[in-house]
Amino acid sequence: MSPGPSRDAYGFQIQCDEGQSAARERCAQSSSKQATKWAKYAQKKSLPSGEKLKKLCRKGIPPEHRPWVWTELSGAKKRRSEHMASYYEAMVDMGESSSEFTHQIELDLARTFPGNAWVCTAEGRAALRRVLLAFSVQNPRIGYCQSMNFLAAALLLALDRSEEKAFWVLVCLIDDGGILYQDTYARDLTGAHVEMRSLEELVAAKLPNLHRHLQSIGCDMTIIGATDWILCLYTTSLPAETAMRVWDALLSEGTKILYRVALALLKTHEDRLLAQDNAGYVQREMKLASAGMHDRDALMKVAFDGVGSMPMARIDTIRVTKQADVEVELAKRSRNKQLREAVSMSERHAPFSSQGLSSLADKIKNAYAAQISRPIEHR
Amino acid sequence: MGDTGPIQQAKLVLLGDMGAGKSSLVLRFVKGQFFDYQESTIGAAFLTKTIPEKGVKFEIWDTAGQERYHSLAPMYYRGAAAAVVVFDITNAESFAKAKNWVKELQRQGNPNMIMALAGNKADLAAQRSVTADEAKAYADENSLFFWETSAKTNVNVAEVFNDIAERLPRAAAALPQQPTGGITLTEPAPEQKKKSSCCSTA
Repeated sequence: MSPGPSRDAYGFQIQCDEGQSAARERCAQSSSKQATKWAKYAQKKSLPSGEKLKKLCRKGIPPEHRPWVWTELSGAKKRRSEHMASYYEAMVDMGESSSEFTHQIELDLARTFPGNAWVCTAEGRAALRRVLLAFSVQNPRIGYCQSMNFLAAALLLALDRSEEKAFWVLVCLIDDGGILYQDTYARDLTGAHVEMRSLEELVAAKLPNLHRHLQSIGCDMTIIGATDWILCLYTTSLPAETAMRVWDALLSEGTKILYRVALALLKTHEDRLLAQDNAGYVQREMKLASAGMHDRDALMKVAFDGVGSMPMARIDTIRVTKQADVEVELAKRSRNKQLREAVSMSERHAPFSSQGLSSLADKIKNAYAAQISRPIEHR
Repeated sequence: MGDTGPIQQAKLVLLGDMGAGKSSLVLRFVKGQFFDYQESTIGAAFLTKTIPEKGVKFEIWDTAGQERYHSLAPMYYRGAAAAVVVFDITNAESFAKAKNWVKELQRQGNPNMIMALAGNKADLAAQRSVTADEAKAYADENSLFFWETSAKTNVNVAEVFNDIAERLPRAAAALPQQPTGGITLTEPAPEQKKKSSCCSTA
């Protein structure tokens, strides 16, 4: 193949070395083999069930079938059928007239995959805008979280640019009781913190050498870049065709796939990471390695066969502990913030000398401390 | 610092409202590039840049700007030798947010942290809603140094980082390099806390 930048099936620029180009070709061949297996289901637009479905999804859904398969797997089709036909349009109207996130969403439109051939067009940005505005009013508690711009754009690309499909899959991922862990995108990212700490625990168990090394240089999962994995669901870290493979399995099996892929990335590049003795360099190395993961078959093979068993029950147990930790910390943080605000208010209003002021501040601090120390004592 | 002196590593963090231009400033400084549409930063990005004349290698953490990512910020500013707090001169709200960042760093950051305030998008002065005088007065009150910058037209970008480089405590350069996080400057003893404490109040 000719060297230099070219574009993948989704309109992203890619620049591959020879090895990566060869891997892409191998993956394309295995993907066309998979396509023949999907043909009979595609004809009737009906999915097999159980293990059969899981296996098929693990091997990758042919891109041309993703629009209908993803909407089924995610529950989007069902969810949509439970609402009036014009629900999406209604949400768009409402979002356009009253979303409190209009400004933030608009700020991010042009900053979402600016190098993608379609997303950067007026049409692409308009579609992205509507999906995000609609979501922000459909779920006002979450509203708009940076990273959802990448999810919505990836969905539009995968789902034949159908805004309505993209919207419903986004809803099925994020809403309460959805596919992703609760409150991953909430206003303090509670769920994302829980996910990253839970991942840390699994890394400690499954890749103990690497974990020890990372700990010794103060590099936890957030620093290494798990925010991109947990919040952007790999759309900003892996090549698009690889990220879509992750989504095939994610929509079929749920969030444990996010853990499997994270562990697979860490395991595949363990040596590169061990060679870095600074958290920043580890992050950079991880980003580079992830961006070069054009061999999607290889990555998914490690994710499924190379990281050992991962029962959901175990993940759930870990999450419960981490959730409690995070809640306590966030609560403490917000109480401290209130306290500081109260003190600064008093400083603004009290016409005292600086000494009198600081003693007043102390009084307020003490009063607050007495008041708030009770609820956090159980820790 | 002559060319014989050791290169001092300095951790630097960029903070500020979303869309203020943090990533663009860093990209201009580190690579001399500018893109009209810079991809939104999720989590944080890490870049390095050495200024040989000053004997400094900056290890730069460029953070996400949206309010809800605030709970991640302490992980990046912890132990930082310097911070650049960025706002957009055409957006008064972003200036208010910058002040909040300054307050937080004064309370929770490294006490010897060198702080700069950058009023970015100076090329859009016609649409300005924060005056240079106002920002300068605030910066003076809080002992920050202040520059109006434009990542787009490359105005005062290097100046911000050069100013910081000059103010880094020289003595620190003589210290042996620590392997952790590239923080070689006046870092308070690390808290004896176990594992990550991304939401910790420090």
